[in-house]
Amino acid sequence: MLIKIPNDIQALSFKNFSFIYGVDKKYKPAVSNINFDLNNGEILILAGPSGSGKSTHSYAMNGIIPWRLKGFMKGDVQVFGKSIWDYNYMDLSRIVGLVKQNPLDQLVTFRVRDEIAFGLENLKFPEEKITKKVEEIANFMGISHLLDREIDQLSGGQKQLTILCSFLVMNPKILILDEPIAFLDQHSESLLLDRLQRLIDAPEYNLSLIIIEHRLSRVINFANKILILDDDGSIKLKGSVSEILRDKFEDLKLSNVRVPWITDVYNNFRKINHHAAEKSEIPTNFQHLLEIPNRLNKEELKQLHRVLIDTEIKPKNIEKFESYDQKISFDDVYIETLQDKNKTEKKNKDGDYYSTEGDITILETQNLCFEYPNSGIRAINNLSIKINQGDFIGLVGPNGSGKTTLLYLLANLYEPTSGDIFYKNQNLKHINQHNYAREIGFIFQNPENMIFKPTIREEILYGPSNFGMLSEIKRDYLSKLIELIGNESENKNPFNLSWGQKRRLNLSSIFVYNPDIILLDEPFIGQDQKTIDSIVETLFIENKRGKTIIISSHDYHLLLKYTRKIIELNKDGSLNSYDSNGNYFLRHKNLGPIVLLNLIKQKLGEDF
Amino acid sequence: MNKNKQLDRKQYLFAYVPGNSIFHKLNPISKLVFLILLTVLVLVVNSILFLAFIFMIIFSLAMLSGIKLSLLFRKLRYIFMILIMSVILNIFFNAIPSEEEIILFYLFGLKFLPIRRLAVYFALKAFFMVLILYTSTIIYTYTVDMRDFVYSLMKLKIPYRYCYALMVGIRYIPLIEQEAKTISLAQRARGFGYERVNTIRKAYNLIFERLIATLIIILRKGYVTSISMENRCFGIYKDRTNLVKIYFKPIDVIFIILCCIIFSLIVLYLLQLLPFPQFPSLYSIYLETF
Repeated sequence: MLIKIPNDIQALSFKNFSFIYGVDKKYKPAVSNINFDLNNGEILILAGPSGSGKSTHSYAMNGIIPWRLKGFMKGDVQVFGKSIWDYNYMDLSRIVGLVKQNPLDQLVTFRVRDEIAFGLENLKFPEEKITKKVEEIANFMGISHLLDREIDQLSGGQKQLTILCSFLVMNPKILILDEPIAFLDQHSESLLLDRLQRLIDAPEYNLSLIIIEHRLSRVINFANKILILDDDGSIKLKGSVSEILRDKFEDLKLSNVRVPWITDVYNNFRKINHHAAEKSEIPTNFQHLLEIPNRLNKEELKQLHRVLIDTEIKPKNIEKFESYDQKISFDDVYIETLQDKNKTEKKNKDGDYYSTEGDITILETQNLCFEYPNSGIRAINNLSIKINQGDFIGLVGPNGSGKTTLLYLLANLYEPTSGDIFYKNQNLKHINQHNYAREIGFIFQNPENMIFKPTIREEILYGPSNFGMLSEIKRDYLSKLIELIGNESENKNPFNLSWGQKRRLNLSSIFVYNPDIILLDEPFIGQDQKTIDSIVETLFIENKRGKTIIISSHDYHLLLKYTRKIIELNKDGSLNSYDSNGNYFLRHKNLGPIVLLNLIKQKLGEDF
Repeated sequence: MNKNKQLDRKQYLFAYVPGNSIFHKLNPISKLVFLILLTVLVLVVNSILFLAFIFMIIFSLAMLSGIKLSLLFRKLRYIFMILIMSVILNIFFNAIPSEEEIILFYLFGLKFLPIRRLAVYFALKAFFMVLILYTSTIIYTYTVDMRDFVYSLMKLKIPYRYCYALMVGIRYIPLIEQEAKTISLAQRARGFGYERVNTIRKAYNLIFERLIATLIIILRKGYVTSISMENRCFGIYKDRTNLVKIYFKPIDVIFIILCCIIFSLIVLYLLQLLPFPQFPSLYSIYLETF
């Protein structure tokens, strides 16, 4: 069964499309009045806050709407000139592939070869043809060496590539990638983006791609068009990439997306020195941006340097933070460390610890090791670190390097195989576990992992009731914590909240018992930009109030902006480095803003 | 409380362990035939001593398939405890108290605690039946890669939709377990579970909260999996191509023939059609001791 698609017609066309889920027309539409076209071979970035209808769009493109989901549809969606109503569901699924964000949820079989062959087996292709096509696509995507591997042995990026291949092998004409890099570490992300570029460059596939992603800088180089959705499911912004970056950048910034930092820096620079900025065109990729300093004089370079610090290195909304009770000299914390490598660094005689004189150590690990029972592999390997009260620490490392395990160990949820952990100089082995739990606020990766109660109020009071401190929680304080979630009734079921609201509920649920230390395990995955900003700002404020925060994340741009120190783990769970934010990023020179910063410093020479 | 105990990834009761034993080399269907024949046999055998004899054979087969004695005991310990309880309960509560029924003896010499012959018989029979079936299932799962098992089912012409439902289910086991563990950690992180669960309310909270949170996450995952499968045209035709081939080797044929012959001989023996002496009954041995 081959579906012939003419090349000269539009791949996708949404005409006044609206959709209401459920059985009642009075419900709020998930998407309303959507109009846009995508030509064959074009690449579209689709972004918007959680709950704005991004998934509904993808379902309408590949037939899940109307064939599998109940609801009311208005308008039409045309795929290659034909209404979705005129396709049967399976034909449409074959033309339009949908790769979701978490590869683990999509894998069905046990081996890579079986997984890639899955679609063709369903289509009853002959065995020889399946074998040939599977090998072809695996070769093309560079995973032919993995074909006979068990899926459980693959890294996150390899799993995502396997899923991608399993769709590509069916020769789709449109491919939707729903936040394909959300669960990937830096290495896996680069691998996937590299292979996507290879796919886009290959004329034989001639794919139209729809990439759902709010971190635009990751994918903007591929794209031709951008479509931004609003909270109410309508279109907020649409146009070609160049048009939006040039003429509607301020509108884009107001949308709930992470704008490409390259364009942001350039645009801010243009605002203060239009003449200098106009010497170069709007940079569309990092290489273009690196050419800009070559055309500037020393004064202009200093301006660009300031803009870069303000845009990418200083925490956002700095003025707001400065009004908080504790006056912070941000330059000391965030900027001087970028200039003076050894100013605040002190190591013990073994060279293991980072410590600054006068700081109080709140957590300390000594030769900490952890091995999962019967695994024979150390997840944490001989780790000795000191964490000071009031630190804001980023925890980084490749997938599988033991970041989550370390957080669990620090929270006393796991017991070390050997070595010790000290909380305020007391060994955790000798501390009452229940009392220690009260000092720790733990945010898990999936917001739903930490929701247990039927109402928001009960959920927030879950911790205090277990700690026997319900009487200490004042009504006003509880109301403030509920406000943090949004304008919601305290009796609402937490599972009915949006994804971002659930994350904010998690924060309220731990703030309520006022823990000393807040540990966060990849809290931003699947969250929209507005939620990420609000979480990180809330944490920043809590840190200024004296809370110690350790956050595990792959988002280096956020870590650069907000953390004070970085712990980097190796793949084998040992410590790679533990250093101040500035020192760490100066040493790891592959982060874009730091590369640009160094280039400017180099150009300025002694005048810096 | 050892917090790490629950992290042992090899604690699954039924988990495949690769190996080179004769049982590992057999096709899952051959082993399934053996399992079915064994089940039928266990249901038709009436002699306790014969059941004990079958258990000894199954035990030896477990050793042959490479299961370490310590591992087997570890896997059997819970069911063993349950069975001991069941034997005791059977003896006291499950017998039909009729005057004709032979009373073996009175427990502690107390007249209101009679130990009846039939009660002991049923209790021991149930004990050995469960033990044999449980041990043989352990051998089966220890030596069968579930992937091969699912494809074998397809080879047996079981509709592939059901086979894939099973395959996804098997894939989900570690995911569900992981989620359940994370949820229990999340409960502990917020102060729940440090005290002993000594009231019904606490037990209800522990189970219900964990169950609901796990269920919701699994339903979401299941939804994404089903979308992903349908997107790859799963279910479009009544049958499908299968790249994975499960072959019958000579060893499988020999094994199945051997199983059938032994099974038939045992049935003939049980029907007293073979010129061998029957197993003595446990009751007769009991009487001879007096």
